[in-house]
Amino acid sequence: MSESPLAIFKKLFVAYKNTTTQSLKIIDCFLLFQFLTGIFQFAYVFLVGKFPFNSFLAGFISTVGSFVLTINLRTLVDPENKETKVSTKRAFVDFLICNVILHLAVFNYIG
Amino acid sequence: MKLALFCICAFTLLTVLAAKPLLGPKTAVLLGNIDERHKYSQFFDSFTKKGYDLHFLRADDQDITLKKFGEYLYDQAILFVGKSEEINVVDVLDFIDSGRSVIVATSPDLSDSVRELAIGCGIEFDEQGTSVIDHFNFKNGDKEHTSIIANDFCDIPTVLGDFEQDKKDILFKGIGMEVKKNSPLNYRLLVAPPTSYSYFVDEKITETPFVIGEGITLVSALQTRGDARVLFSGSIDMFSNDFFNTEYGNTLFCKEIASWAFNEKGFLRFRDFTHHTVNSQVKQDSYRIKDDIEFSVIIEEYDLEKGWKPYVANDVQIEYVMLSPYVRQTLANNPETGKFSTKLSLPDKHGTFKFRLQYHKRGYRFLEKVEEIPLKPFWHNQYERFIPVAYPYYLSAILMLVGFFIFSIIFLYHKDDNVEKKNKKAPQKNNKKNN
Repeated sequence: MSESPLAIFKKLFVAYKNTTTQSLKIIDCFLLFQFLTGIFQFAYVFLVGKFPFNSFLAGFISTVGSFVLTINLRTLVDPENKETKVSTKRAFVDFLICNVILHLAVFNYIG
Repeated sequence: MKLALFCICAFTLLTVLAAKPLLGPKTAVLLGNIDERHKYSQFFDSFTKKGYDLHFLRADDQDITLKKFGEYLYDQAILFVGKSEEINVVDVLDFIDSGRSVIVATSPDLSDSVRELAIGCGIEFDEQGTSVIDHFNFKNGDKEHTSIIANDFCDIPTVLGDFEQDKKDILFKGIGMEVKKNSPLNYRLLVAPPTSYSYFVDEKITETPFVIGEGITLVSALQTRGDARVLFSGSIDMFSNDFFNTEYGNTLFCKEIASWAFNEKGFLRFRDFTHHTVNSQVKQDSYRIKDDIEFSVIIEEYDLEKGWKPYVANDVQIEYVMLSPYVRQTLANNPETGKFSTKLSLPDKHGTFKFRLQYHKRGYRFLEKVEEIPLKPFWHNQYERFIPVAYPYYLSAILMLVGFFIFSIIFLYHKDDNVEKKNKKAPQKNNKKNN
């Protein structure tokens, strides 16, 4: 159809606002925050170089890992998800434990 | 009167005793004809004055040996073997290998055994019967042009000694030799003038001479890796009184190179090869990468009168080597104590390294010492912490953690707009509270 890209985006945005639940919106905010932090780190390592490479890896993995875990939480908590039937409580506890392990590894490696 | 006499005797004895040849005073002098030793009296007296004890032996004598029952009978030797005398080559080479110095002078009548001895030392004499001939640089009145005048010396000040300041032409009458130009152990002390050649006297030249021009070496020296010095001269007459009493520089030249040959000059030794980290004074047998170390060694030179005196030089280097030197530094010299020291910064690579002192200076005794000191990598807690460049990474990791806490609080305790969801959530929240 001959609609401008701007109109499509606007439609998408409105549909998103109406169909997603509050909790999903919170998760999406957090996802955006993690994504931006990851991009920022990557740009930083391009500019400054790889000197403490272990620190860069640890920081980058913390953002990417958290992003992946939050995506998982979102998939499990989404009410439109018909395949996996896990309670929100169970999903959140999984998220919690995995994050603890991730941050343990990150702070050990960051040097 | 008697007291004065006694004092004079004691004083002369003391001066003789004060001068001490390095290895010992016993010197074997092999001559073709012992009665001819007066012909070289000025040369031999210079040794006697310095404290050497000359034993004159007949070169042809089959009974003489330099070694008896495994012990060497002499500490150095002079061989004036120019009248076809045969010498025991194996004996002499063994003498040289043991670190004892030899001065060998020969003439156009040299025997095959002398040629063999020279070849064992990297030098090749010309055929028996040939002489070095120069039709342009010969002594006045010489019909055969075999008494030639040479003045092309080596550039090793230690070997030439006092002669370096007072260089004069040398009168030479004898046979020529060939020494490989790039040999690291052979030094060409006196080279023939470019207009000379080595051939039979009074014979028409039908083939290319063995050596010509500046390829002819007249006097050469070998410094062995066993610290022995061997001097080869193609002319015995060069050392004779007749040649000393001319206006040429034979006297000083022969005396100086002979004293170098007998370890009176340029004989070094080192001791106290130590290293330690800059803060502690303890010598360790391994260091950590990027350590700062102080290294020092004391080098001494032997002097005939004063014994071991401190060596003064500015080109001694120390290397820290693992297959190839990672660090190479020149040592700073303290002239009073002879201590050479420097500060080193060890490389960034761990492995099995060694400290290597390798001092091969022409005219001096070779110094070599290798000490294996490995280098260890950092301990786990010796790395840098809180590097400023990495602050953004620390920040992002902390932000992730903090964000996670805040998110989980909001996620658990937020109120949904949708009433249906709120109902679903309420029992869950109650469950949580009960738990």
